[in-house]
Formats: sequence, C-alpha cells, structure tokens
Amino acid sequence: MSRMAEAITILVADDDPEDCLLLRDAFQESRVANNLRFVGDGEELIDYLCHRGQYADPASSPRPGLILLDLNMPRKDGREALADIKSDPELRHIPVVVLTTSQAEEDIYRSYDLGVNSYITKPVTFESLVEVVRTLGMYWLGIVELPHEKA
Amino acid sequence: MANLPEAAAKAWRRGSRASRAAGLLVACAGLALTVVGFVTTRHLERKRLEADFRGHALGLVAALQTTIDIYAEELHSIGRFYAASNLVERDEFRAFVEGILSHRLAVQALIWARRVPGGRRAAFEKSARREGLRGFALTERGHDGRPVPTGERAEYYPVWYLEPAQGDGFRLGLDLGSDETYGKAFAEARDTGNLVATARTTLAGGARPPVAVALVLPIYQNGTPLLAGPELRRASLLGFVVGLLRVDDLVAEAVSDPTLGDLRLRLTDQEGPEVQLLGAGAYPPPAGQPASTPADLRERGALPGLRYGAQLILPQRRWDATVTASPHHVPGTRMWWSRAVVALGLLLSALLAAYVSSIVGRAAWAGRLVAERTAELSQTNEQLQREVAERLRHEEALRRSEERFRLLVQTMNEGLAVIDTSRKLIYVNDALCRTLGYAEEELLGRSPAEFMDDANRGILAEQLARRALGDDTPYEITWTTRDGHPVPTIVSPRPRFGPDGEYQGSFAVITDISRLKQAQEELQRSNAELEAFAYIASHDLQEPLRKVRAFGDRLEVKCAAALGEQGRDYLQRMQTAAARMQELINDLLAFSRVTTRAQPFTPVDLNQVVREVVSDLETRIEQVGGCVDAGNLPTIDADPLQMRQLLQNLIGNALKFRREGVPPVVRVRGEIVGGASTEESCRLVVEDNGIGFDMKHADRIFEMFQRLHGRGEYEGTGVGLAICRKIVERHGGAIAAQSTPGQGSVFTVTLPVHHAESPS
Repeated sequence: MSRMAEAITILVADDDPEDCLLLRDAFQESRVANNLRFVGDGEELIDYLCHRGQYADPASSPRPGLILLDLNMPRKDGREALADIKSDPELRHIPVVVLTTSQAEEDIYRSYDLGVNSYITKPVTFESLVEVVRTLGMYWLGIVELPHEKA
Repeated sequence: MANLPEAAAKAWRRGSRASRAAGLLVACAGLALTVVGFVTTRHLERKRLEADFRGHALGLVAALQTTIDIYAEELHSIGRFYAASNLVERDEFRAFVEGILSHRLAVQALIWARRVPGGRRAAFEKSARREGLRGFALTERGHDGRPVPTGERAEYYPVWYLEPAQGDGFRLGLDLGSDETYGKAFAEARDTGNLVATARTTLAGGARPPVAVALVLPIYQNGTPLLAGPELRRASLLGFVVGLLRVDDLVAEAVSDPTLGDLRLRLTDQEGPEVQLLGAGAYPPPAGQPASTPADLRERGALPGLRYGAQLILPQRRWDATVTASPHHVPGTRMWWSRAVVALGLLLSALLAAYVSSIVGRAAWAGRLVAERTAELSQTNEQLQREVAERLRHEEALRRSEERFRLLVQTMNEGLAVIDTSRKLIYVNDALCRTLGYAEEELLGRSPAEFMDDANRGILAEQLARRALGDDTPYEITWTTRDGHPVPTIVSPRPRFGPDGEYQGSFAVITDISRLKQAQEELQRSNAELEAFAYIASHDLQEPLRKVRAFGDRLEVKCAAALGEQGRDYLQRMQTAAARMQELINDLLAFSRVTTRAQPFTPVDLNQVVREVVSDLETRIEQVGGCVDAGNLPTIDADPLQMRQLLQNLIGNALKFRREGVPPVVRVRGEIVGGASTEESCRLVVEDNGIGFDMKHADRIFEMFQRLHGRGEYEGTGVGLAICRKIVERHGGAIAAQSTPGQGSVFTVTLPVHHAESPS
C-alpha cells in the first residue's frame, strides 16, 4: 500500500456499535491500516462531510477518501445520505461503498441508481468480514485510482 | 267434395235440388207457355184457316149453287124453248141443246121424255118405227141391265129425244117412268110444274158408274096457266125435259176456280130415310184422278174444325154439302207459325230453364260456397280465437317473464346500462344509479363520459369504439360519483346488432369493484406490510444472530485457550444454534415471500429454469458426484422466480437425501397433459434414487417444519417442501410425493399451462 493510500481516511457510517467494533477488528486483522472514522447515522455523516456541528474542524474531521455506508440507520438512513452525497457536487466524487446487512434487490438497485460505487452485503462470519475488508483495501486502496482532493 | 262440411253439403244438395226444381219449373212453365202459345197460335191459325176455309167453302158452295142454278136455268131455257113452240122436232131439239151441251160439260144427256099414255103405247112404237127408228120399243132396264120391254103402266115417258145420241145406257125408248127415281120426280114435276131434281141416280156402264142427278122439267101444252092445278097439269102434260147431270162434273165445273183450294166436298141427298152420297172428293181433284175416290168417301184426313155445311138448293130438292179441308188444303207452311212457336217456345223454355237452373244452380253453388266459406270462416275464426287466446297466454307469460327480468334487473347488485348508437344512456337500473349517486332521469340521455374524469373518458371512448366491431371484452374503468368520488368498476359489455348486422348500441353490466379494489389495495398493503414486517423481522432478527455468531467466532479465535474444552464445546453449540436460527428466519422469509413477492405469470421456459438451478447447484452436484438428467420441459405461464425456487428445492432435496455411497441421480421430466388447450396442464416429475421415505408420511413432509430426520442427519429446516407446495398452490397446481424407502422418491408437480390474464 502506498503512502498515499495509507493516508486516506476511511469514513464508516454505521449505527451498530458491535458492527463498528467488528469492523475495526477486521481492519486490524486484515492489516488495512487506514485511519478509520465512525459516524452513527446519516445526519452525522453529512455533518462530517460538510464540516458542520461537531465536525466543524476539518483538521479533526479529515475528508475521507472512501466511505463505507450502512443503509439502515436512524435519523437519516444510508439511502438518504447516499442521495445527498451523490447529489452534492462537492461530495459526490467520494467513492461510497455500501456495507449493509440488506440483501434486498431493491436496496442494491437503488443504491447503484443513486450512484453508489459498490454494494457489499455484510458477511455473516468474522472471517469473511476480514476477507472482505482485505479485499476492499486491496481494491480501493491498491488497484483503484482515487481522485485527489482539490485543495 | 268429400271434405265439405255437413252444412255445405246440405246446402249443395238443396241447391242442386233447387236448381233442378227451378230448372224444371221454368221448363214446365216454358213448356206450358209454349203449349199455350202453340195452342193459341194454332187456334189462331185454325181460326184463320177456318175463316180461310170458310171463305173457300162458301165460295165453293156458292159456286156450286151458281152452277146448279145455271144448269137449272139451262133446263128452264129448254122449257122456254118448248113454251115458245110447243112442238119441237128432233133436230130443233138437237140444235137448241147443242149449245148447252157444248158449254155445260156436266150434262150427261139432255132428254125429251114424251108422254105416252098407256093405251097408245103400241101405236107410238109403231109410228116411231115407221119414222125410221128401227127396233124402237118402250124399254126398261132389266135385271141384268139390258133393256127389256117395259111393263104396263098408265103412262109412259120414253126417251124420245136424246142428246148426245149415245149416252150410257140411255137409248131412245127407254121408259124413264119405269125408273122409280125418275118416276117420283116426274110425278112431282107434273103436278107442280116445277123443275124438279131427282134423287141420285147412277148412269149405267163402267166399272164405276158416275153419280148423276137429273133435272126434270115438265112441259105442258101451250096455254096451260101457270097456276093450274094438278089435274089440269096432268092432263096437259106433254112430257119432260130431262137433263142428266153428272154430279162430279157439275162440281168440277163449279170448282174450276183454282183459288178454291184443296177442299173436300161431300154431297148428300136425303131421299126419304136414306142418305144418298152424291159425291165426295177433293176439289180440285189431283191431276189424273177422278174427283171421288173410295178413300175420300171416308173423309180420311179431313181436318176437324174445317167443316162447312151448307145446303144446296136444287129444284125441289136440297143437297147437303159438307165442305171439309183435305190435308192438302192446309199447306205445311200455314202451320209454320205454330211450329215456330213450338220450336221457339221449346228453345226459349229450354234456354230459360237452363239459365234459371244455372242461376239457381249458381245460387246454390254460391250458397254452397257461402256455406263452405262460412264453415271455413268459422273454423278460421275458431282458430283465430284459439290463437288469440294463445297469444294472450304468451303475452301473459311474456309479461310475467318481463316482470321477472325487470325485477331481476332492478334488484341485482350490479349496475346495468344500455346505450344507443349515439353513446347515450337509454336505460339504467337502480344499482347503477345508487353506485353513481345519480337519479335515473339525471343519467338517461347522457353519455357515460359525462360521469368520468378525463383519463377515463379516453378509456371509454376507446372502448366504445370497439363495440361496433363486436368486441365484448370486459375492461376496467373508473366513474365519478355525484360527490366526486371515484368508483372503479369492471364493465362487461355486450354489443347488440340488428338483423342486418348493423350496430344498435350495447348494454353492459357494471360491477362496482371499489370494495374489491379496496380489498386489493388492502391486500397489497397487507402484503407490503407483511413483506416489510418479514423483511424487517428477518433483518432485525438476523442482526443479533449475526452478532452472536461474529463475537462467537472472535471468542473462539481470541479466547480459545481460556475457554477450555468444555467452554469451546458450549460455544460451538451456541454457534450452531445461532446458525440454525438464521436459517429458520431465512426460510420463513422465503416462505412468506411466496405470496408477498409473487410476480405475475408469464411464459416460463422450464428448461431454462432447470439449467439455472443446476448451474446454481453446480458446486454441490460436483461435491456429491451426482448428476441431474433433465428431459425436454414445456413452457408454462408461471412466476419465473418461484419456478426457480420450486425446482431448486426439489432438485436440491433430491441431491441432499442421497443414499450413502450411491451417487445421486436426479431425473427431471415434464410433459403436457390434459384436454382443451385452456385446460392443459404440465406434469413435472422429479425422480431420485435417494433414501426415499415411508408413504405414510407422504402428506406430512409438505408441512412447515416437518422433518423426517434428526437435525444432525440432514441439514435444512423442513420448510423446503412447504415452500414448494405454497408455490404450486399459488399457481393453481398440485404436488404429490411417492416413494419407496431405500430406493428413491418421485415428486410429481402438476401445473396449469395457461393462466387467463387477470386485471392487475
């Protein structure tokens, strides 16, 4: 992984603390050592991305290079947030990977329709989760070219 | 005629009789008239004839009389001659009578019978002989007709002069006085001085001696006074002039006038008690025939009625003359009037009879016709009455039927509307009025479009256009009620066509499906809710399970040593349980989705489905070393996803429940069975060579969560077949299982090939 890659912040939006915990563990296990930030729902996500509220300070809230988005969240769910992000000219260039328990075709289609970059169903077992994270890292941070932030 | 009703036959018979009677009557009348006419005509003719005849007869008698008078006058003229000279010599006599003889053809002889007193007979004879008359003697007719000397008498009257000289049996010397007839006449003439006609006398000689009559004129001495008495006369008598006349010729001379026609004359003389026939015959006598013929003597053929009797006056005598008409007298043509009358009468009466008969007959025929027609009419009338009664019954029945239908239409729940060709409502029933919230009069005469919004107007217009083409497919359309509410309906139209095939409007049954729609919506909502619920439930239920499993794994990884063997065992069981629960939840979700995620039927190629399923199960098939042998499967109307599920479950089961050490072989066969194309079904058979099952479980295995084996033996939650059954039932089919334990199982699925489209 390149230095550049390492520098990329991965923003995870998931309301479930256990899932967040597991995800952190999975990242550790898979040696994808990126900076992980967590937000609890769609509101916080948008606030974070727009540097609003508690995330007003860009220094403490670096713009992510990849967003892992859960769909089912309170207040504003991932679908709405996705719609917001992908319609915001400032934000839509950020790759969004939906990471959700939902296997619903509807959700898959809608997400892609909204412009999501990938859709991953959360695996059931931890091992699989580790595998997924590893692959994620390899793909998004290794293979794929990510857009640079405009200063 | 055989079929004529009684009355008509009777009428006919009566009519025939009547016509015959009439005919007869007329004929009789005609005949009677003819007879009368004939009789009258005849009578008139006869009368005319009689008059005619009478005229003729009179003429004849008159002529006869005249002739007789003439002849009498001739005798008188001789008498005057004698009176002039008193002594007439033979040649003087001859010279005088010559004229008479030449003119008067009926004169047989003119005789001077000199009186010779009895005593002077001999002397007279002698002197006569001396005069030159040889053999002169006074004779008389003997028995044989020959002259014999006459007997002794007081007076003799011999024929002294005789002209013509020869005259049938007369000769000089014949004593006329010897003849009784003459004698009498002489006596009378002598005593009276009158010309006297004798009775009938015959002339001698010939086969038929003609009848004759003599006129006797006494000649007296000159100076004898006219009124002298008989004694004197006797004394002064010189002799008699006798004119012998042939009666026939007398008559013939009288009747020489041809205009007298064919008459028959019968002359008789009454001499004492005796009627002497002088002559009878036709005058003028037919050519070549003498006037009197023996036949005529019997007056044969004389027409009765044509008889004229008269008396001819002769000197001192009367003759009875009976004039009758001979048949010749009445020329045929005279009677032609009566014959004509008869003929005409007969003809006329025949014609009239025929005519009347025909008229009456026609009347009878007409009567018969009338009777026939009347009978027919009354029959027809009866029939008509029956028909009318029938018609009334029918009308009644129709009315009742109409009433029923009206009632039906009015009380039925569905709305009924009838529109005409101009798309206006001409009939609406109560239900429709209620549905739309309008009164009947507000709807009639309007187009249904006025009770719809724009979108539905379009649908209506399009649908109505189809009616004229005979399209009667039901469709959905939404009306707007008076209150502005939409009421969705299903319209089942039926166009009507006239006898020539022209479109006459249509009627439609309008079913308010708002409840249905509501129910549908509710169902959909319910399904959606259920789906959402199931999804959320499964999702939310899955989430803790996931956590359990995830952390369980972490625990296993991170704290295996600390757990110890028992701890690890417990953890293992927990994981298994969590895993099972996840499966259960998934299966439940799948089961509920058979309904909530049901898709409309579409033609599905089952071969394609099997291929996909086999592809999905490829790994497993390879793992177990099995194979799936699929035959050619048909295409049926079905939910594609559910077909996938169905086959996946069945084939998956077949692979799962394999026999130990026996590679599973799954045969999939499908065929179309059944009758009419709309009732065809597809029979799918999934056969395996696995462990099979006891047939007593054949129904149970399709129940939810029913398993025939322990958890540890075969994986799965026991929902698979339940899902299959639910899918099959949703498709309107059936599923059944057959098996032989230890050999294998056969699952037979029957699905309809076609599903009618239902309004979605």
